[in-house]
Amino acid sequence: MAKLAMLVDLTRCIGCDACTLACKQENGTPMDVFFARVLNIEAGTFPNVKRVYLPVLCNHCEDAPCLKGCPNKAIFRRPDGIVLIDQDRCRGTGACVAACPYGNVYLVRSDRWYLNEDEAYERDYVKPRLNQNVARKCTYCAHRVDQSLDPACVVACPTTARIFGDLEDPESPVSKYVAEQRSETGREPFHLLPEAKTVPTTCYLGPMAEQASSSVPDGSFAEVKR
Amino acid sequence: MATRHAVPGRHPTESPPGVARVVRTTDSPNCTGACGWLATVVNDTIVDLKPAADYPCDEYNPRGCLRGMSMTHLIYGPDRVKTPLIRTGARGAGQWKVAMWDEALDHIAGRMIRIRDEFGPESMLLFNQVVGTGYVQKGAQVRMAALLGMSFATAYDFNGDISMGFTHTMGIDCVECETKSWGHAKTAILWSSNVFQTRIPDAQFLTRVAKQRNNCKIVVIDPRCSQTAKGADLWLPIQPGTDAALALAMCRVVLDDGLLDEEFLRKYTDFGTCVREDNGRRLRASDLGMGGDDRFVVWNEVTDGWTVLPMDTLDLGDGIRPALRGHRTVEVEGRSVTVRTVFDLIEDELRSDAYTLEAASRVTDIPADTIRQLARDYAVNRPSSIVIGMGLNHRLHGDLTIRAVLLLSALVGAHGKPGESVSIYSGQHHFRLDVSAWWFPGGKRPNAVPMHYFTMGKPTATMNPKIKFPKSGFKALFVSHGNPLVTEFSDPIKKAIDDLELFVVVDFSMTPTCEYADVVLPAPTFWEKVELVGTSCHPYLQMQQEVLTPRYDSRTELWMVRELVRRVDPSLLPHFEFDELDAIRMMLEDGGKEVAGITVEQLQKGPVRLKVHDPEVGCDEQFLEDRLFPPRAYPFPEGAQREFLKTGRMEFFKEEEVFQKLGEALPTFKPAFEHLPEEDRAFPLSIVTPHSKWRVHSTHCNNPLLMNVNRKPVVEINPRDAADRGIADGDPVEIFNRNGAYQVWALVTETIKPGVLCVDHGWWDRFLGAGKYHSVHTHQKVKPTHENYYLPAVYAPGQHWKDTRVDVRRVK
Amino acid sequence: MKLALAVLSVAALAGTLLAQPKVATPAPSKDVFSTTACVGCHGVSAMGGLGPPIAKTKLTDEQFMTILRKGRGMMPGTKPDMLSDQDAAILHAQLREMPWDPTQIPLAFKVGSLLTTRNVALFFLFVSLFALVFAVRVLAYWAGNAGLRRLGPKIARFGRGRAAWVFVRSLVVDGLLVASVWRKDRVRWLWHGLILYGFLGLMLADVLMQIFNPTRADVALTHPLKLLPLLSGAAVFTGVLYVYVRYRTDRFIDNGVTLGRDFLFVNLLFHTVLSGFLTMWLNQGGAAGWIMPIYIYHLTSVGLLIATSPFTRFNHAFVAPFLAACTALTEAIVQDEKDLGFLREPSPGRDHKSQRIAEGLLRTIDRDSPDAIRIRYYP
Repeated sequence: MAKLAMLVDLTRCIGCDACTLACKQENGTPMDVFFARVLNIEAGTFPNVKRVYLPVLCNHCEDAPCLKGCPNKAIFRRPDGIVLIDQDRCRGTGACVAACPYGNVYLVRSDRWYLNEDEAYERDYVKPRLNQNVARKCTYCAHRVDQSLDPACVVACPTTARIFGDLEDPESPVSKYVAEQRSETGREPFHLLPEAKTVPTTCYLGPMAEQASSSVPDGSFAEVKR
Repeated sequence: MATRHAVPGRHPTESPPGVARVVRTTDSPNCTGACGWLATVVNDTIVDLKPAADYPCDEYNPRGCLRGMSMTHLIYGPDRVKTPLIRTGARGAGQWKVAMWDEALDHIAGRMIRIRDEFGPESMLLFNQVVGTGYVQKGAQVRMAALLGMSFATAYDFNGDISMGFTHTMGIDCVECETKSWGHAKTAILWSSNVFQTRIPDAQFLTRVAKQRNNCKIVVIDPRCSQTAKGADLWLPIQPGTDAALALAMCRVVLDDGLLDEEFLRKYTDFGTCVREDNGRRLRASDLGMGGDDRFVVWNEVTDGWTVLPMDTLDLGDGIRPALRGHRTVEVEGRSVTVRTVFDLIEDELRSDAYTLEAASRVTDIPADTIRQLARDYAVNRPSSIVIGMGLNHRLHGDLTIRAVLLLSALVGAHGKPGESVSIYSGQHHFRLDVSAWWFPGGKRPNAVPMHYFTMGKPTATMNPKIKFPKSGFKALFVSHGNPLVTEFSDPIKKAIDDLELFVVVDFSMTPTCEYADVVLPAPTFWEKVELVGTSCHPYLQMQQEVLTPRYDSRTELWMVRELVRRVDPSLLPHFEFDELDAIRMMLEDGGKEVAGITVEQLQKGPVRLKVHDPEVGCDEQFLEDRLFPPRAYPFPEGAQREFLKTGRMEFFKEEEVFQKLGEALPTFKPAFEHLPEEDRAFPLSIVTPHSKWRVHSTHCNNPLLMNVNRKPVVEINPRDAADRGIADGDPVEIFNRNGAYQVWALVTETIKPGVLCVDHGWWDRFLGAGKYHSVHTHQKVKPTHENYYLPAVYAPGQHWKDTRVDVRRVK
Repeated sequence: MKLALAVLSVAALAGTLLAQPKVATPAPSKDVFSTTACVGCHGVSAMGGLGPPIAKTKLTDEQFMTILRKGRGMMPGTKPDMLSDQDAAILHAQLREMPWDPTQIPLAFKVGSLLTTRNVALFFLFVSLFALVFAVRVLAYWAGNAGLRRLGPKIARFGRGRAAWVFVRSLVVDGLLVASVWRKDRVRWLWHGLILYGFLGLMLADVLMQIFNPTRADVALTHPLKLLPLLSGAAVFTGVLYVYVRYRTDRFIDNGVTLGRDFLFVNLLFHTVLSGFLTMWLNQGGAAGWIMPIYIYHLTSVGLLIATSPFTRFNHAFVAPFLAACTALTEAIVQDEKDLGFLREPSPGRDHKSQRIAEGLLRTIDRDSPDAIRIRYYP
């Protein structure tokens, strides 16, 4: 048994979307499908504005709603904790899409592609990998994990904001990082939407930047200055 | 890459069909990031890209970003130029004849010969973007231009990357510490710089290292809450174009609070030199009969007398201690002349009412307390770093702003240590090696002409006499990998092109520039050709491999110029009978001390570290080895820059008459828009055009993968400005002024300062709602202080398109 | 509905009990009672077993014959080929003569006497209410996950009527007709249809029975009221047997989380149908002594099936159509291309959920987080 988990450190993350594209490159997902996304959040009003970039991916919940909602038993949880959609069993009912409170399951009724039809890249190496009209989602790159490789987004993250490993193994990179950050910066990992009680394995560390802003009091900037 | 059809853990893993080959290479787009990649190739198709992450020093790993990752969709994208194309209709009409190479080359060569014979070879202009990213291939084009005697316009100054503030102060157009050095900073000021978007592989040194390890205080100064402001402790929404006022007010805080680093000023700056009150020139050794006209004197506190500054080292030893303050009277040619130190002049300037905290606060919209605190943090909470973005530089008075920022850094001595520098990552101009052996065979150089004069159609009255503008004007233009019709100057360039007899574009994507060409030649992408790649961001030299055979009918630039030369002047052919590896060997052999001992064989195995300091702190030779300013600008010979930095120190006083005339002898603040005609100034809004996360300039604009994420060009607008104009989020809007108009869609957001609009740059016209990209910016003006000397891409005119005022309205 | 039916049955029962006129009785000529199946429920001394004591019965001949032939409540009817009218009359007389011995009333009767139609109806009412409450809670949970509340403004822009139509159409097409399985695998659709439509048939039969035969009087096997549940039950039974086969042959039936709950549902369904058939078969004249235990077994199975339905795999029957309808609704709004969030986001259809995540995150990382939180797309 193991508990594979991804930790995203929001201090390190710069919101560059390298993960988004690395995932597309790795998984060959069709148009409009992004297993890894980055939410670009802005909060407040000028000048007291905060920006937060939140990389989102499948949380591989221990109590996964998509799995429970699937009427076809196509979604399963491996002993190592990875939740997968069996592409052969899935019948594209679409229940899991609504079931996931994070919106991380994707079902495109008919795939649209990026390149011209005669391009070998998509024709021979991307399209054949995919079943049609099935739900898809992030697999933690299970096919890479099975070869002892890190997921593509982890490998591609230019700020190493993503750390992957087995939470039950104290020697894994993720366990060590959690312990290190606990003692050095006092940050505790947290989950998204704890109220949904999905018990995710993907977890986050908060941003350290203060994100204060300073501008002369309201009004004076409205005056046009030349 | 993913396996076929498999359900991991349920079905056995199947490898992709065919035999996979993994190639280590580097890409070389104009972000100049030079990231190493591992490409998995099956049947001559790239099926997977992963960062190579093989830099021997692990801190640099991994490198790569979303744009590099999406390159497959440009290589295989629908816009690839597949064959040579010859225009059959009017320019831009889209009527083409699909040609064979022989036909296209004959077509070009025939015209080249005629133009050469009729108007002289210098009336043919080569403009390639951007040579720093292609020492071999783009270098081959320069080699051809040099041998044929053509003109050559460096992209660097035309792009506005040239930072004349640096040239004026340090004798070199930009100074860049390698990004690893950021990690040491405790205070980092990102001055209109958006490194989280523009330097993605390097941003980790700010977040992972500086912030997480040193709890560095990161300050972002920018009218919009940029992506980088996300990671900042403090965001200062400054009034656009007022940065110099902020910098000089900070300088004043440093003065008032006694935070000066006088030892730094004595050693590295011209603060100890004196200025004559009679003619405003610097006091020279010749004035006092102590030496030549090119030597300068300081008042030596050790000897209490005048001493000539050494011109072989910055090290003054124990014997010389320049006085920073004081009026002195000297005898010059029998007359008594009052001289004052540069420091005194600067102190006077800073003490003027314009730079009080209150005055600066009124101009910049930043509270006085914040300015004071920022100055104190910068001076005290060391090491402190400043990264300048192009928002400061793309203004007519951008040079003054940068001089002001450099003044601030010099006053507190924030240079020369890891984490201490003022950097502007404006391009890969800083060649890591001397490429002259390949580019300039036998020392023969092309006739360098700034692109500005081509765009304006004629030289300015103040053009530097060194520049040889062709007598009969330009007749042919060769653009390689450039997209000048997707710049702020697309309209005037189009007009200039209309007067040409030949307009050839070399590219791999059918850009708007290609669409306007007479002949389009298909080039391979940087995944299909061999190249030598260096960057100022990290100290590794790398080789780019031919991962794929060039697709379609594309041919390398080296092949193209060889075939052209064969047709135009066969006697020059022996100069081109080399392959890429030969060229690399040639450059490595004569490349200078940084690449001494590096061989092609080493490079083929992986990245090779240059012989430089670790980490490089910017101006290493000056700050670490006491060699005189300026740092050498490859590929120009040693000493070429001396004429515009005569003292060999950081010059904050410019003695040339043109500076005096404009009142710019000292760093000063000039309002950004005052040079515009009254009618232009009347427009209420400022506009900024930053880089986009989704593109490298205009490259990737047509990348179907990235367009999937970034679907429409938007203008960021504050809700107040939007409400005033009845604009709702998502509305189609037109940005307009007297120069032009174009239509994009509104993104109403609180993250931008009221009174400022923001449209990211590089959108091709076909993606706009209507109009021409950035046509509102079109006005070309050259500042005379930029024409005083000329050294291509080092001392040359800059650009100022951010000095634009516009308005915006909702369209139906 | 169920409540109305229950009231109806109680009224019918009361009516029967009140109308009890006195009649003369012939003397018994032979022992019929101990040879019939009556003993199974009413005990050897007719002082009751699972059924009530019937010694010293005060029923008139007519009443006796009606009850005997048609059955009442839990009691099945007995046909003339099993007990002739003559023997029935003898039986009636014999019962009237049998002594009333209260000490003989067994505990089993005290249990069995609770199983009145009314009590059974109340039992199912309670179980159904229990299941309903939890089913609503389950649906509320899924509605929360589906982000229906945040979808609200988008629905308003899309048009509420249009949205309702999309939702209901999906409930029918994706839920009732199981279109997704039909599209991908007709054989599976058939197997699944056996259970789904069989189950619906059983429920329909139950309702029809309540309306047309509230006393559950005996009807012929070929009667539509009998035929429907018989065929439906057979369909469900076949389907469930196939599921058992799948549980043995399908390597991937275990999703690692819900196997226990899933299998519980299958088992409950199996036992419900099996016990139903057994009851019916016994009713047709088998080992009469088994009727009551089997019937109780049937009632228990049905009760458990309903009570656990919100928690076992049974819930897919209402959760999956609901979720599929939510998905269909979201897809329709996305295709409408009027909502800016859906229009701008890279993978349209999750903007409302992203908002929830964003607000949640801001609450987590920043205690005094600002109210105005927006997700922005593009730059």
